[in-house]
Amino acid sequence: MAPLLVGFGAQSVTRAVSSLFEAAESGQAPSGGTSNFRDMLADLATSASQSVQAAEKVSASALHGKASAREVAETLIQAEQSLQTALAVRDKLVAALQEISRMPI
Amino acid sequence: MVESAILQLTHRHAQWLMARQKVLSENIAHASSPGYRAIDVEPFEKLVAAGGLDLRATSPRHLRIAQDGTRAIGTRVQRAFETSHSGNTVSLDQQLVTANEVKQAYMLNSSIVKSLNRLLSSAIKG
Amino acid sequence: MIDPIQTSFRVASSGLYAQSMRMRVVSENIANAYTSAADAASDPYRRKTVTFGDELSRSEGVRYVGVRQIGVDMSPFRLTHDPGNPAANGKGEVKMPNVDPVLELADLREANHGYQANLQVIRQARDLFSLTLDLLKA
Repeated sequence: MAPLLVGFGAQSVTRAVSSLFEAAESGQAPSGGTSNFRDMLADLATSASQSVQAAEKVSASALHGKASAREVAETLIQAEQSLQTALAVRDKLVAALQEISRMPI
Repeated sequence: MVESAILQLTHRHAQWLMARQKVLSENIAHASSPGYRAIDVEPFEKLVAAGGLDLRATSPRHLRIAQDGTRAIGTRVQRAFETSHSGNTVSLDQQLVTANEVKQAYMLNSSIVKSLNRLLSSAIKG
Repeated sequence: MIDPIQTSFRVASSGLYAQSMRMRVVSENIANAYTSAADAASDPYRRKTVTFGDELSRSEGVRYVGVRQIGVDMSPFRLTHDPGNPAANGKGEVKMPNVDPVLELADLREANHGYQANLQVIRQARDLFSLTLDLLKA
């Protein structure tokens, strides 16, 4: 039985990407539009975390000889892309917040 | 810091591959030795199922006591496909095929480790 | 602690050494296969043999191979009829070395095959080491 594959890597991904969601939440006016944006960010984080977990799982299978090198490459590439996307959106969010904080009141 | 499950697995897999490399080095070195029986390592699945990274309890199947991390990886006599008149069961062709398997598996292992580390780094650094 | 790749190198080296010693002895047998003695009272070249042995290294968990001894084959000499030969006996027979070149060549081929295989192990150990170092690069 393969050991439970909850990767430290996957948890970091979730943490890293969602770390600013709290900041995003705090300054927003309550409206349908805002929660959709927050949900979208949360989805990106989850999706990235899930692809990393999937990549880890396929990697483990490959080490046991049950998956091909090709499958490993594909899932790892997918995980990298999901992660890059989530991180890019987070970075944009950080930049936007910084701009907002610089606005004269 | 605790290593993630997948990195623990790649670590164990690498140890298994190193043990296998040693075993086939020995088989090939003894290819002309009268009476020598070719050996192989226990399958990787068996090692993972046994669990634990340090099995201190000795077992009759642990023919080797090594101090290089391959300590608990048991070996066993290989089924002989051919035996020379002197009792030697090493087939060089078979050994070289196994050698190739070890190399490929090691390449896969190190690629996985590199990629996962890269993923982790970018997640932390952003 | 000894690196398992180092161990692989060393075991393969012991194999290389053993097979090359064997090839040396076999070559000597072949070179002297047709050399008769100086006179009828002396013996011609006697075939040499190589005996392999092994040595266990507990710390590395492997057995090295080695040349335990270079022995002499005491099987009888071949007799050829050659009355003109200075080593001929009363019956015109000459003792010739107990070497069969055909068998020796087969031995040589096998030794070479073994030598090449050990060389392959060394190449592989080197590649594995290289791959390991690559882990430290980007």
